[in-house]
Amino acid sequence: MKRFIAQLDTKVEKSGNIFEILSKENIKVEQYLENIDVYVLRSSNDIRDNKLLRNVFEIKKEFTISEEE
Amino acid sequence: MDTNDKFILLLNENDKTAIRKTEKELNTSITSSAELSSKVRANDILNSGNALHLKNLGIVIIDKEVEEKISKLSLKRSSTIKYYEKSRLIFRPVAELDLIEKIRKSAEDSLQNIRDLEDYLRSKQNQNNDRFTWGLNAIKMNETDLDGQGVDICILDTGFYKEHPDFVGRDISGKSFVPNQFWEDDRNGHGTHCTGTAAGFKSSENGIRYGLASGARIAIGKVLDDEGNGATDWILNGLDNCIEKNYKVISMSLGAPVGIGEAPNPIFEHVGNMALQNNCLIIAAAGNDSNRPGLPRPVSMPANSESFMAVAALEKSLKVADFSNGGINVSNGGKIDVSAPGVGVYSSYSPNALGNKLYASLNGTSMATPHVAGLAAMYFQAFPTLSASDIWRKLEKRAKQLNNQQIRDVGNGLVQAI
Repeated sequence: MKRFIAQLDTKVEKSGNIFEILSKENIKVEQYLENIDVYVLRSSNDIRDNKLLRNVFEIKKEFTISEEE
Repeated sequence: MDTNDKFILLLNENDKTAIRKTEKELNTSITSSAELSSKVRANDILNSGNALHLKNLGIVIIDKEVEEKISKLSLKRSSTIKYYEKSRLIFRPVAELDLIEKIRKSAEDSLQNIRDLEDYLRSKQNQNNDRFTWGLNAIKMNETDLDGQGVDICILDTGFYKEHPDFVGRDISGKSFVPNQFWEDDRNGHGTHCTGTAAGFKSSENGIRYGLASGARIAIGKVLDDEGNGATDWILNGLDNCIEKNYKVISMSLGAPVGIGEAPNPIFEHVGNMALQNNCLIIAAAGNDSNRPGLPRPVSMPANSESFMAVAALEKSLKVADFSNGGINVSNGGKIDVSAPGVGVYSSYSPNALGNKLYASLNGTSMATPHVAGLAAMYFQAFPTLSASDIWRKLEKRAKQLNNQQIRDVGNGLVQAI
């Protein structure tokens, strides 16, 4: 299972039960950050081109402190 | 000539007949002032025993040796003398000179007092400067009374050493977004250092002031683990919490390198805009991937988002630090907005981290970022009705332009206190 951050496509946002819709695509909603309107998703598929979603990025542990050694 | 040795006669008639008659009665010779020249002066005439007729005034000045004759003549009905009196010392030039001397002395005393005051203030200023880190002096923290009072400033980092002696009594809250790690012990030290610069005060070790917004409320978000690394969702959780709590300033001394030409992450761009709409300013480190004099590396993510304020690091000479990333991907928005001290920055540290110490001097755009965040809190304090976007513009507008430094490297220049 991979983890992603994403936003919903604007059409999907207005289409009812988001969790149910995404579940049909084999996408599990792990968390919805409502203040910034961003979803944390989990899926065994590569969902980066999924039409229900936009701005999809796989979550990586890529950030680090900006201290010069 | 002594002024008191003379008499002043005012004649009834101011003509030759009156002069000749007066000469005869007083048995003296009267010389007309018409005879005066640069070679023949009044004193010369009077000292030679002659009287002087000031022809335009009808006055005769005469030696007092003829006082008795003057007295008798003046009593005669046919006297040519209308009035006479002994010459008086009406003007006292010596006394006036004394007065001038007193004024001069007083002025000199005042001047000396001004010099003494000036010396005192200079020495006090120097003492004050000695009590600030070089970075705080550079951004003119020694010239402000603002302290960020009433403003919430959030540090998204490795956490904070809550027991630090310099923060006793401070209003500090926190939350960890890193699974199974706590915000309040900071086993890395980086978060405690950044928090110290942004919102600390002075060192209980040596009295040197290293922190800016010492009156601000401190909020800690642990979004990096104890090794100093963080996942995207931890950071987004931290940002979401900041907006939920209506924090005004977020300091993010973290980043992920991006390639040349790489566009900013749209999620962070979106989050930055959401923050600005909620009157919250996010300030982020430009990153340390460069090695000048070679071409600098691009501004890291998320500082490369246009809605995040990107901060470069300066050396003490106010030259851009060799490691500080630059505005290489400007067409995608990845520019440097401002710069701040980022080399040899002294601040608080966590004894739970490597080295077991309460203070450390560190380098990095990580160290520059909280300088800007602390100032942002002070700007919010000074201009409480302004929006986060307005505060951003003000920080840029008031920044000090740096000679011989490229906008690509330092943006609008070195941020300044107000």
